[in-house]
Amino acid sequence: MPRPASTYTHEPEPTSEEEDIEDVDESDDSESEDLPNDATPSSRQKGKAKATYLSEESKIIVQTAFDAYFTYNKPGRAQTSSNVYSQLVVPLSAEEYADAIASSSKGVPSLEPSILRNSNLKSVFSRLMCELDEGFNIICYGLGSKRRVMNQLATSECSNRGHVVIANGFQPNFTIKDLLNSIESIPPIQDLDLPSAPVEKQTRRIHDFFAVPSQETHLYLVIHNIDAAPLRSNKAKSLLAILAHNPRIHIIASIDHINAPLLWSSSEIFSRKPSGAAIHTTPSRGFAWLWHDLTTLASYDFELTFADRSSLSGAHTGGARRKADALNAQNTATMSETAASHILASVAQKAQKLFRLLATHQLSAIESGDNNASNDLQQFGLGYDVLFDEARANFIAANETALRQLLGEFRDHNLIVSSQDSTGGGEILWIPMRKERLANVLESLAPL
Amino acid sequence: MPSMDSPNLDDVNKTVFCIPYVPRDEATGSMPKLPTSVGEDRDLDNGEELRLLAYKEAWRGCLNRMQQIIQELQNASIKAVLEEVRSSYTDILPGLPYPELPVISVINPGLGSSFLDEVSVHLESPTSSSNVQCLVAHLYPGDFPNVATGMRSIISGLMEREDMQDGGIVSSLDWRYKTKSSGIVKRKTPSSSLANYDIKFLFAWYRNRFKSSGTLISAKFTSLSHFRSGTNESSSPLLVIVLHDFEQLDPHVMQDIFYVCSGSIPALPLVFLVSMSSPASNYLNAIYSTSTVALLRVRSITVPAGNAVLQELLLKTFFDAHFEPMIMFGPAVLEFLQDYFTRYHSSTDAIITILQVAHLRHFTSDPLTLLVRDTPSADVLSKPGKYVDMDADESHPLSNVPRIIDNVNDARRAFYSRLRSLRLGFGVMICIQSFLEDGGYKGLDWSVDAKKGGLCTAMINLLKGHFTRDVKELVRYTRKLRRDELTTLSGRLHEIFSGLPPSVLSEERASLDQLARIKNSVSESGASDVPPADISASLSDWVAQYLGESLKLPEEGILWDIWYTGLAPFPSELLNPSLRASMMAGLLRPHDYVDDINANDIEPAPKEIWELPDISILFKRYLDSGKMINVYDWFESFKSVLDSQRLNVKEPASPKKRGRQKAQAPETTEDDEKWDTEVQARFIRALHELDYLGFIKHTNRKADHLLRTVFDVDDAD
Repeated sequence: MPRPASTYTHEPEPTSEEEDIEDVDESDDSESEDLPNDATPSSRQKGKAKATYLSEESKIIVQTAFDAYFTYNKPGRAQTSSNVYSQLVVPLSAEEYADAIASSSKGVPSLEPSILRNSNLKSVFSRLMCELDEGFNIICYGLGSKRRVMNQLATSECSNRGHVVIANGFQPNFTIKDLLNSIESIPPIQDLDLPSAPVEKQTRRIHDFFAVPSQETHLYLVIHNIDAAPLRSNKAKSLLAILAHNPRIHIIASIDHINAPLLWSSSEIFSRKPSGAAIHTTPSRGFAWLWHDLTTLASYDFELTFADRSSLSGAHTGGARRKADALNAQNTATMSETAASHILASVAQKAQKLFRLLATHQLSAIESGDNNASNDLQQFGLGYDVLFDEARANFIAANETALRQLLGEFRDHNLIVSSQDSTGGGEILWIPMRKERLANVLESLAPL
Repeated sequence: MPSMDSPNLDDVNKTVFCIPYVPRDEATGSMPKLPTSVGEDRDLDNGEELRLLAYKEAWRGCLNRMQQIIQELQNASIKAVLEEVRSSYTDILPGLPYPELPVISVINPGLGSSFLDEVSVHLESPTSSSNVQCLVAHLYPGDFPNVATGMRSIISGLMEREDMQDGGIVSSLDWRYKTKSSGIVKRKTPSSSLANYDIKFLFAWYRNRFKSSGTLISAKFTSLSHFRSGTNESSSPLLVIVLHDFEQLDPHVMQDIFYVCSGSIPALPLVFLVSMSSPASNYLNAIYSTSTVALLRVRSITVPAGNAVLQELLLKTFFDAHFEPMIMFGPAVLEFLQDYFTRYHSSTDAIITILQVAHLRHFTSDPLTLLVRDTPSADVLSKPGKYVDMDADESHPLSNVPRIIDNVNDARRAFYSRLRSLRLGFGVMICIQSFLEDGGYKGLDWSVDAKKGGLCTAMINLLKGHFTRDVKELVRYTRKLRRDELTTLSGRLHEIFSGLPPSVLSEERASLDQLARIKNSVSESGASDVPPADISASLSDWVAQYLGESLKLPEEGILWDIWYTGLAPFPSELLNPSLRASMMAGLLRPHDYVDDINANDIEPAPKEIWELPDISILFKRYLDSGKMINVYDWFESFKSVLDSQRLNVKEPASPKKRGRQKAQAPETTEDDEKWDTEVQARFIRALHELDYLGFIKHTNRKADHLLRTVFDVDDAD
């Protein structure tokens, strides 16, 4: 059962409210309010124990993150409802998502931090460039996509001083090889006509190229999301560490993950660039980071382009891991209008009729049903027996084998799904599309 | 969709973009310069360039001095390591059942990897005094994912080094091209049929390169009688393998590698140089099994570390009579440095970086810092509309320029002389204190000995002006000294002054004479153990007078802030960022970022939750929840906020803030559905963004439940 949202929103705030609770009884009451479903005696006992614990806790004057951690991780059941999102809410298809996001822009205006105003940005850029000149590498952190600002820095400042290579580390199919290949595609290196080599060799080659004292043009590497999965590996890190330690290669990187600083040991972070890199020795490694807060509050839409918007974990480990997998997963979870019309166009007329039959039934069921149309679609499905009767009456399928044959095509493409009715009423069939989408498909289906 | 300045960067299908450098004549931004300072309106036209020059000079002086000190600090250790490496196959204990693999563990928490680089340079330099040659390969944890790759890294690392040394001065790159272009076929070795991770491959290569005339010795059958003696095979180099960050290497991999390598010594003279970052000296014994350690002959060398390094660096850079830093740092910076060094990262790299950043900061904060080294000529300063605004009369600035220049020069001279006497005064205090400690007295609260510590704090206290008590104490102590003690102390003090550089000595001539007089009068005053009262008083009087005169705070003169940072704090967020706090602030109080920093006199009204961006709304609800979050509940709560947002945005003046009644607006169901989709899309977007930032951990413990990763408290309310 969905709980009313208002109780949820007012719910926890465990200690701040109970700061001045003196006697156990009162806190006990407030506890039992928090536990509406657990009114059994044993749970009340538990509540009491908890209450004394809380009253002790109320001695804490200012609650810190540590207190909060222990408050939330104390033994006991997590108090969440038993609603399951993926059962109650139909995932959005990519098109629906894009439409919805595009139309949502007229809500609350988006915020623009003062740091992004032109005059401020100019002084920030001059600072960053100066620090780069002084042998540091820059890492930018803070909430919001820093892609735009850093690209601006790259195009307006860095490109005036040397070669610029911009890497989108957040792309799921980004590899360190791409970065190295791109560096080697800079004309002066390309002219050397180097053979392809493993990444280690390539890195050494690039390092050596820029370590030569006669090399005057510097290289600016702008790496978006150096904390992204492809750049987290030990290997990628050590390759970057070699490049970062070259006095003529400068790295400007951004991080977004909250634990990103754990990527590097403190000696790596502090290790200073050698004043003049010697080419005939093993290159030293390290990053010499300086940290800058570059909170832009911008959305991560570009970074999450390949995230699977129909899945809750679609953005985990920074963008979808595998582009192809993500797209496959999307197909099984939802059905887009175009996909449906493609399938419908390729099936026989009888099958189309069957689909139309089921769809009209489902639509009318939804319309007559409750207002929460977006919830579980199974309840609007049609029993197999009913469908068979209807199909026979409409001369779609004369017998069960024919019907199964027609359904098979749809089932293979997940346009019609089925499951056993939980109340024991046999098989239920339905189309996994929300109402408006289904109506559109039905409309586009040429009238017979 | 974000709009872009350069459209090609918006291509989602490309992962890397390359913008090759095209030299432009009019590229004004290409010249390196310091950032514009806060007081931009007071700056000269070319202030940034001038300040950059001043900065470069000041920093170079400071850096050179510090590098020199570090060099001195590590010289002894480098020598010890070199000695150990070179003798690893010469003086071996007789009677061992099998040859042991020499492993030298270098514990270098303070000096960082630069120490090992220095060592390897010395080992490989052909001009080194020893006749033992070495080939050094540097290997890092990433090179040892498993035994085969690890062995391959070792072998190829050593062979590459040899190739590079062949190239000599010619760069490796050039050399490679030459081989390529002239079509030289790769050297054919008798080992070409062996796998490249086989130790025999290395052995065959080594024999081929360095012992081709020697007898064929198989590693396997090497008996004890074949132990090398340093003299007859000095031409073949030792193979030194430097393992950086040894603690990060997998012990299971390393024990096998040690086993493999120990089987081929001494025919293959391998030496492992292991760099440890933890100060514990028994890491090898603690982590590796006895059978592995038994194969090794471990020698540990500890490099100077900890407070001693910091103390030495600060003392010799900022409180040494023989060196004059152009910029003096105030107690705030030094305190930060001490704190950071002791708490977070005690390495010389950290000290240097902090001081460099402090230099940068100083030269960017005030336009006047361009006057650090010298004053620009009158021509530069008299440019119309541009002048250095000091205490000068503003009505006719141009005519005053020469006077201003003189003033600045005087101020500079006065400041440096004040600083010099402060340093000397502190030197005298240290001298007396160390004398007292040597004599077994307690002396002051701080100790010169790095182990007891406190010298850094003493420096900071000195700059803060907290020295009166110490001076009184010292005066009291010196009054009570015995005759022999007086002789020694006055001798030591005399040494300090007589050893001063001539330029400083001329100013301190009076003190030197007086100390000489005291020294003589002590020795002439007879043989009794207790010196006459006037003599012992004369020294303590001198101490009181001298310290009273010399210990003056740098802030006392005019324009001191050009050369002294005073209480200006160190921009610690550059090195030790509070990433989490910044992220939380961005999520919880995004509006704070919108307001200009300079215009925040009035506390802005707290924002309603619906006024926040989606991700902030979702995050607020995240903070409200328990350790596990039911996604559906989360979605519902998010939806309720968005509903109120929709209402408020539609009717901003509406007094009703909560609750959307059906009857209120004749909304079509189509609108409602569209709205639902929008809410869902925004929810998913915000959820994915939070996931992207690492706030969510997925779990299968309960259907559609997420785990919180952050338990910070929302202190915005």
